[in-house]
Amino acid sequence: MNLLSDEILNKYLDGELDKNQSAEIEEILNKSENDRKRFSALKLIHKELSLMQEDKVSIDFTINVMARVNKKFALPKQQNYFIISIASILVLFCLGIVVYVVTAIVSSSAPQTESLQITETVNRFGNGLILELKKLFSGKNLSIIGSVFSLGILISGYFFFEHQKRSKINLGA
Amino acid sequence: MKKLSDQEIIDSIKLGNQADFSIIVDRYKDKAFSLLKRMLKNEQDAEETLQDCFIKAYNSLSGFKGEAKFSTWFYRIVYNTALTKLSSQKRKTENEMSSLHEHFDLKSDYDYNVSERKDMSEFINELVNKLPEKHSAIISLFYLDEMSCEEISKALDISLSNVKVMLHRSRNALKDIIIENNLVEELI
Repeated sequence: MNLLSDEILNKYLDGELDKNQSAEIEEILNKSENDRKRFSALKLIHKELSLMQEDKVSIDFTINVMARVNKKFALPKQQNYFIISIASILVLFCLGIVVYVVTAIVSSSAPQTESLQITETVNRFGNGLILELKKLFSGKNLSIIGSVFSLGILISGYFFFEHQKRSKINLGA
Repeated sequence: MKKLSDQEIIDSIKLGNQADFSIIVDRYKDKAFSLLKRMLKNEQDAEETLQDCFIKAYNSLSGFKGEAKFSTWFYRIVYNTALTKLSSQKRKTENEMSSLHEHFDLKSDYDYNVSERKDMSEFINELVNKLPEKHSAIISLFYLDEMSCEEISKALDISLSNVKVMLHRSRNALKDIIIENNLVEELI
């Protein structure tokens, strides 16, 4: 007959009982051969489980994980570089237009004298700007600028959709 | 050389040293693999799932604030991924309470043949692999990772008392087999 429950034996094994309870258990274990046998089996299991060895993953496991990590993050990085270069080209293009317009106005205006009034300068500059922009965005020039912008938008659109697709896959994973 | 703490490595990864993640992988791969192998009962599934767990952990590193230990946080990812995998494989996954009321019978599952006597640790290992997934996960974390019941409770999001019940129940099941096969006197 079992005098001690499995629960008490487990608690005793884990050292969860206080001094008095432990002394009581020890006394019962000394008297009852059946309980002693059960406790010995439990102790043996505990000892064997403590000696249990870790299982080993394959040798190239870390390399495989790191390859997946690098692959996952290499592509967005490349995309970022591309988007930055496209944006830089567009900014440079716009800057070129501005510089061209300003140079054209300055070169067409008469040498400024000190007596020239500020309002006159602003007026002339404004008129010149409109005139130059009209010239620039008319006829053949307009189609060239339009083509460049369209190309930029198409490329950016492609990468935007690629990015969206990748985000969706990541969310799914 | 000074061994870097998990937190120091994570801080370094967050600063952009992506390659430092390999230190974390090397540190936890075998222990987490042991846990997954016992839960999924399949070596190949365990290794594939473990790769997914590390990728998930890497992606979520920004969300790791260091309030809990990294191991606790990571084992929760491993445990939940294993449960999802089991569920997707249409295996029976029980909730915490059904797990507690689960009556597994290792004796009927395992017939210890005295004539084919095996190494005792191998024998115990086989029995542990036959335990239900949550029980074997607790055994693995308690004995291999040397986690306390409190830490296991936090990692698996199971109450402390239930962790203890499952741990005791697993040990008792193994003990009964040892007694039944009269291995106590022989091995002590």
